Amino acid sequence: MKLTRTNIASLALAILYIMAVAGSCRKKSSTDPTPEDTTVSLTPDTIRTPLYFPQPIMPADNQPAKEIAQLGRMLYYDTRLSNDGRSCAGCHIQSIGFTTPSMLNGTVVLPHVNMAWYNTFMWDGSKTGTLEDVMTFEVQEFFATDLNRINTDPIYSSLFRKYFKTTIITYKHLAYALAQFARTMVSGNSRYDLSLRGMVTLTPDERAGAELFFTERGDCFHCHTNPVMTDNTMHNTGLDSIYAKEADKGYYNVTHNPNDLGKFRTPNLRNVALRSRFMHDGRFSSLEEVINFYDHGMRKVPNLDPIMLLPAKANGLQLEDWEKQQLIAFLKTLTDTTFTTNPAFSNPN
Amino acid sequence: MKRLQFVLIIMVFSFVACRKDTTPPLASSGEIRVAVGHLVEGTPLLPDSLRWQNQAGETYGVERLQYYLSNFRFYSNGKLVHTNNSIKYIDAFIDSTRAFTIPLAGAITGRCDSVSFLLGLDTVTNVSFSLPPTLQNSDMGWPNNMGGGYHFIKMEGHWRDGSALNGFALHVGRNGYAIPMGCRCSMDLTNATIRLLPLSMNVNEWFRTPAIYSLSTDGSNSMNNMTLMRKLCNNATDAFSAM
Ligand code: HEC
Ligand code: HEC
Repeated sequence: MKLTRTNIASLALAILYIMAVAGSCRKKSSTDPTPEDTTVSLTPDTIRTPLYFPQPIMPADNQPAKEIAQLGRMLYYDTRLSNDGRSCAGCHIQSIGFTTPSMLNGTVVLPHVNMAWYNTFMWDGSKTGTLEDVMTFEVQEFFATDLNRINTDPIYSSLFRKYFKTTIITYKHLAYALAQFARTMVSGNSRYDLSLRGMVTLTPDERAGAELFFTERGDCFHCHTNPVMTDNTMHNTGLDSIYAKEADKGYYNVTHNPNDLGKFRTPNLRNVALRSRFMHDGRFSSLEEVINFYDHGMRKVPNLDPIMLLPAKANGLQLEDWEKQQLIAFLKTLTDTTFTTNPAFSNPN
Repeated sequence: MKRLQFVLIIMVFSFVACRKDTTPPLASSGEIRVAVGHLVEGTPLLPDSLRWQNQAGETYGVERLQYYLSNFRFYSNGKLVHTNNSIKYIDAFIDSTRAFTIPLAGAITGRCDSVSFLLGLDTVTNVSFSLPPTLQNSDMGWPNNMGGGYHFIKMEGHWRDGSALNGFALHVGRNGYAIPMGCRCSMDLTNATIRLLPLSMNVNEWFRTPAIYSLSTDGSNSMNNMTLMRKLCNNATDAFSAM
């Protein structure tokens, strides 16, 4: 990213503009307690993001409140949510970007980062909607949380009564609290972000990598879009020509449309350098292997994404060795240690 | 050629600007309901369907078609009767984006017989992060490494090159490449409070007149390629009709 003077000036203007827009929109969000409840007041919160981020996706009936996000955080770390001693954080570990090197039935554990900007979830795009929707799935189906256990816990039953004004805790209540916590999990202080804000200067290699990433040479940005680093869309990137495992069929397993064979939701690249397994089935174990795939490993299948078929890419990117290193150097600038060490996202118990 | 186009755009706008002052003050209201459709020679464009033929004889299918319309001008007998500068994002395959309204202010009489607009953004708006921060606008971003601003249009799909299957990504952006569009229409502005404007884009117009655009000989990737973007801009000026 070249930060010329005009760029900085326009960015500054844009930031002011976005502040104005965001300010006026967010003011509308009100989580004032209902009149009949005078004992608890929820503290309205805002999702703090760098100003060049888009507006988070937030349903009207779950506007952010500090207490509810905090309750979500307790649930996220509570092993009693599952029936086998696992908590969400057991697989989604903060220090490595809320993922884990272990796999679940051959599937890589997706990281939790900036999910407030997702409308499509899971590698195969099988869940769509809001964070509230996917969290409902997590507690109701994936964990099959024993609601009785939660309802008879005096702390939870008191907190949900206070914040949700309910005497019976349902999956929806759990999901709403988890969704609020997840929405606060914003990563926006990576070296890349700091460079956008003019606070650090990227090294020549990192800059060259960004140039590859954000121009037609590497053409990564059409799917890993700035600044969210995923376009929430399903793509076949040519990983397979034969779909050996059921899971390799990706989005096809959701739609049963042959055009969707091998399509996966673009993964978020924030904190990608902290991961040790890449792609839906973890077939690659280093960023070098991933870049080599884009360089020369792609299979030409009929529904290969048009972007992958462009002339400069038709036989892979054919990068020089140093260009591969530059791309990797750029990917490493997406690591945000303020996120992986933020006490606000850690185990509260 | 590039300069000519630019001069033309400037002329259109300065023209518009003078006309605005001479328009009598308007007093009543209502709205124009615009519905945008996408066709290939009269047949509705379906996603993922490799069945269309362009002027170069190539078979193609469209999987993504997203763009901005802006700077609407409505004319009656050559006289500007209404101006609207809002920016509309259209995704050909997401119905909710294909219909929008343009509010009318004032007592407008007579028939509106032509409409003009830009496909893309004017230079004031085409600045990175200037549009409202929605996910859609964010995905349309044109990287600063290539001049910044937004994609004006992304049209992507597959095409057949002999027996081989290829991809194309016709992307246009950057200042000077917003496409001035215009077409005849017929709306009675006098009585009804709601006026309907059915716009439709014939995708094949991108590939012909004044010059045939061939995915194989011209190129299947236009992003930041000034020659290809210019050729597409010139071809597309008559892509819309209002019938
Ligand atoms: C046993 C490990 C494990 C546990 C425990 C676990 N997850 Fe996950 N999580 C995964 C895996 C694996 C995926 C990816 C699944 C897929 O895409 O098919 C995933 C994906 C997700 C996603 C989708 C992320 C995205 O980018 O689309 C969400 C949201 C999520 N988990 C939330 C939770 C919550 C909330 C809990 C606790 C209630 C939880 N997970 C517990 C393994 C786990
Ligand atoms: C056409 C869309 C598209 C383009 C272009 C693209 N990617 Fe991807 N990328 C994906 C998808 C989809 C996946 C996941 C595929 C899977 O798991 O089967 C992915 C996976 C990755 C991963 C692994 C992430 C993880 O958590 O496992 C990295 C790293 C990556 N891409 C980097 C890049 C780079 C660098 C470029 C440019 C050279 C690039 N991508 C271009 C769509 C794209």
